[in-house]
Amino acid sequence: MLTMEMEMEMEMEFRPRLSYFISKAKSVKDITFSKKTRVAILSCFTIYGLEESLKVKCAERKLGCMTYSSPYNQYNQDILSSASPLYEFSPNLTFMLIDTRTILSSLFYNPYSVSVSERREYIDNRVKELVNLVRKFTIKSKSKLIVANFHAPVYTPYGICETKTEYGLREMVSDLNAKLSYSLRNDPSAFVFDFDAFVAKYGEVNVYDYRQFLFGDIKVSLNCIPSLAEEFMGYINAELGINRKCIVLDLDNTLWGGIVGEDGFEGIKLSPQSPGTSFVEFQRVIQALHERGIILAINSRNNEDEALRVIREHPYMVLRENNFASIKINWNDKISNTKAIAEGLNIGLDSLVYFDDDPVNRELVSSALPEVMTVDLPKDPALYAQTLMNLNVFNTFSITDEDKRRGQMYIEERNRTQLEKSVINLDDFLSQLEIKINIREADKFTIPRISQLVLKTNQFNLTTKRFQEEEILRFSEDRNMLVGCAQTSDKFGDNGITGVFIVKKNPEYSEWNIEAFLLSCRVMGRRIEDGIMEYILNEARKEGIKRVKGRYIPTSKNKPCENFLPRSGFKKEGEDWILHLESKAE
Amino acid sequence: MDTASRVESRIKSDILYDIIAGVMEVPVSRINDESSPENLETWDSFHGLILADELETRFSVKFVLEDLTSVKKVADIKRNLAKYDILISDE
Repeated sequence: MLTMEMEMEMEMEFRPRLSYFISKAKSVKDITFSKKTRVAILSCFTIYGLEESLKVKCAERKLGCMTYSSPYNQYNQDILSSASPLYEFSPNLTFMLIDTRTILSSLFYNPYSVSVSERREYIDNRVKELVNLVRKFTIKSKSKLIVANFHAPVYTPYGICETKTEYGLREMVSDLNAKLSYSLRNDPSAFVFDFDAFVAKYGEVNVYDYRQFLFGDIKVSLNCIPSLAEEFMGYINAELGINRKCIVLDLDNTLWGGIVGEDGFEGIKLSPQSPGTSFVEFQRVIQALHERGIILAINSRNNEDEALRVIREHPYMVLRENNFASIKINWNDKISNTKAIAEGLNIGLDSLVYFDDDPVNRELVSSALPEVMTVDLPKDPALYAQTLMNLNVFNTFSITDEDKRRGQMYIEERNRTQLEKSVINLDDFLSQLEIKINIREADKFTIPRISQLVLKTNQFNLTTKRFQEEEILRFSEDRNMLVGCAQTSDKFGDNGITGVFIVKKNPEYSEWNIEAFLLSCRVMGRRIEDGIMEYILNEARKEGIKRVKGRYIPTSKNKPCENFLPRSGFKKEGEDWILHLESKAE
Repeated sequence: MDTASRVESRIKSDILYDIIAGVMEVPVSRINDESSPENLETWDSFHGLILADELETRFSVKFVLEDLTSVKKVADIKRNLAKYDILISDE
């Protein structure tokens, strides 16, 4: 039997090495991918192979990735000169890596050569310089800037006295990191990549290879470059609005040990004692993800009564029935259950992550539904939690209040669906729902959510134009733009912000253009879009506008809104759909 | 090193050439003891490090920094490997 260490070692071993990415990168042709991004890397040291690793990892996910690396240690010049190749490249995402050795200069070797107050002043000045550099960049570029923070080295010349020393080496670096994060916290275009946590994850001894460092100023060892690229993928996915939204879970030997149908309610392994601890731990990690807004679903071949009894009554279940937005416990095959979950929740298969201990089921789902991310669970349940924590697929650039409430919203949705089943006529259903639409103009509270919807909404999205948060902020401050959102609620609860519109005003032509109009899949089919359109048309009338122009740009996913403009009275004229307001005037 | 624990491995040149050709992405026919950064356009310092890493994994050896800097052509790689009892020959 494999020990945990052996299994972990084997997993490390199977991780493709940098040479794999280098040779694979040559054959990557990303012209065929519809989603593309441009990534710039600014670094003060040699960072071989990162571009290749990013390109290959993107291609594996069917994403195009153009890259640019600043010449060795030229990041400053690249940022400061408006005519630099960096700005010419025009990145969407820019990663900046400066290492601890460089930022601390001679203090890296002997920080105690200067006084405590001088050390503090030194760090404060470095933070100011860094933040200045960040601001210079974000003013000049539309790109998001991801700044790596600094690794606090394990070795210090003071050894065991280090922690007895005021503002010692490690404290200096921690303070630098804290101040950097704090300074950039409210900047929507700048993010801090926790490089210190990256080193903790892979180990200082692995990330730094002294031979490579002394040979060629390589400060992230070649073998760790693919792992660094993997961390960066979290940002690339968020930038492209790709993220997994839902965890689909098998039950037996996945959420608990054993098979409830055979071992019985008391016989399954789920307790504060080993081996039941593995499953409790796994469930706790899932629960925390659920609380940040990840939807949970069950896909289990089981007797529903027996399985539900565990979920409802078992003293050590962490996840309970009301944590799950969709529950499929039946004897149907895993493929049709998975499809039914996605359809029921109105999300794409590419939003699902599937956990099942049975390799046969995994193979079945992954070959029939390749869009679903099927996780290769290790044989040892003790490693389940860690496997989940290592998935870097749930990232978004912000976590909004809507995200945190999402779990609750889906439970409310389950109740709505039950009402829908008992009411046959759609109009009756909608009127019984008592829908309220509150239109709000974009402000600093609503913009993060507006941007999130703009980046990820696929189905009810007329133009699928993806605007970044900073652009939306700019639009909202522009007198010739109307940016707003719809907050919807009904008798079952608050749905939060679920609709967005961006209108460009052209008063000189007495015309408004609908640049973006979209609706979260969560509230589709409730005619909320009609309410939002009515608001836009009324606003246009108030300003004496004669024409409102819209456009439907078809994609593989936005068929649900194909007929929305004609249904709202718009008439096709060339590429555009136009509504003449005079004709509607009463 | 304790001479009693030394275990020599004999490896055919072809195996080494295959590894080098793979890393440098050239046909193996272009690799011989005289191959070097001078006559292989893909052999830059980066590919040199990738090659060292590949050889360390394949032959379970750990080069010292000077090994990395001393390589001027394939023959030097053979000489370095021999220091770790990996004998490359065609006999």
